[in-house]
Amino acid sequence: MERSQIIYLDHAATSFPKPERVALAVADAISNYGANPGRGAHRLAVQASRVIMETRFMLAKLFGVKNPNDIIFTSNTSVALNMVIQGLLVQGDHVIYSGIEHNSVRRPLEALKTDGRITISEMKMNEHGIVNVTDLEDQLKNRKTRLVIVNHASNLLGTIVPIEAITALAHRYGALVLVDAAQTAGTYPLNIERLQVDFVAMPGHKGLLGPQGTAALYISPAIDLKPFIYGGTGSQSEKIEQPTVRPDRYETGTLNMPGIAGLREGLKYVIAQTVEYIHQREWAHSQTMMQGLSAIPGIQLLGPAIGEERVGIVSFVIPNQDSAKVAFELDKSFGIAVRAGYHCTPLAHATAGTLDTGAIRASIGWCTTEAEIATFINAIKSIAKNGN
Amino acid sequence: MANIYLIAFDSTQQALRTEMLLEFADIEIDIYPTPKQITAGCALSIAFPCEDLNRVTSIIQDEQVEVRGIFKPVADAYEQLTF
Repeated sequence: MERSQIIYLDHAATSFPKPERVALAVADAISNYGANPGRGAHRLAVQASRVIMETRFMLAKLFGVKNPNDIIFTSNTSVALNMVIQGLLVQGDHVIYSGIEHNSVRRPLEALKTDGRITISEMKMNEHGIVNVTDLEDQLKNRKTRLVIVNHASNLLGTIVPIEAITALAHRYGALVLVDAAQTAGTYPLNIERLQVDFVAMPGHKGLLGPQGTAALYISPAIDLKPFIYGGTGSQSEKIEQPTVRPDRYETGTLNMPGIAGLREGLKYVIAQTVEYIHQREWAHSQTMMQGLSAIPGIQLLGPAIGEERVGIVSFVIPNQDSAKVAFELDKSFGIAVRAGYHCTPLAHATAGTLDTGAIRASIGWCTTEAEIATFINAIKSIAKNGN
Repeated sequence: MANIYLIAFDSTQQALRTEMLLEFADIEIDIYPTPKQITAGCALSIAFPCEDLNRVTSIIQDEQVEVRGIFKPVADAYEQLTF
């Protein structure tokens, strides 16, 4: 099957394709100025460094961060989340996380818990991923908590979590807040310093339309986070200690400069379109998709109801059908790419009550069209009718 | 070098951000390699005209740029200014 015939509805895993200029920028960086950023003062090294600085600046502007050097580049969101989890938490700390967390949060926490270093508890949510704020407050009241971790939007349910309210609550009880913006960065408005969130981890390769291998972490200037990785930074080389200056303190080793050059082009696209417009468009597509699917007998849609706020993620279950087989059939017979199974988040499946069945997830992106959604709905109709 | 001061940095990214901020403020600047008498750290420094010292220091403070220091060339050495 030709690439042009494939309908890609897996943007929650990674946006694809990217705007053409993203790939061109990566190639340009590799071919024309691919020196090592921050190492040496020759013109190519400075040009490479400048591309990184400009990208950092654009991220700061987009996410309401005053000082761009409070944004750190990492290789992926899991690394960014680990930088906070491993760098902040010490013996005896308590952490609260939500019932829609990805394994990238749950596993590092479980590892620390197994080592006897921290305790963890879960903030209650209903089956649609809506937070029970009263329960959260009770937990914060009853137990001194170091960190609250919350997924800004569920990668299974599409539910958007009220991080402003959660942050205010956590701060009232002396806890810090880490937001996983994997499903919202570039597709749902997020003004970090207005919300006063302490840490935000975000991928470059999803809503921000950059290449894989790019991500960022915001660290509040008020917090001296211990580095997760130590080593060469190209700066203060005469010192044995890791530099304290940002971003060098947290950017050990050579950055993925060609990837960041690509991310800069993705950001230009997002900024030109505006995040508000992108969200509005993806929400409208999600509504079309949900309306079409809900007309198919027996289909169970997950997450917020039609008409309610969500990101462009629509997950569902077809009764008596194996989600993985449905996804396989969509790919084989219709050329439609979706994701089935557990989506690296058994927690969210437990919340949604779909641990036994898994689910089919269709996720909308910057280039999804109405026609593609119509084809997808027809394909599901056919599969639901004929079985697989 | 008589009529300029030099800002030295501990980070290339801090240096390039400062370059952008000062250019935005229409201050005439040049990028120089950092003299080894100042630091063996980040290899980039920014030179600016002496008369812009007050504007430069207020930008550094307002924008919370982290610098190694501002230095005045004196013969073969560099004297750090306090600000």
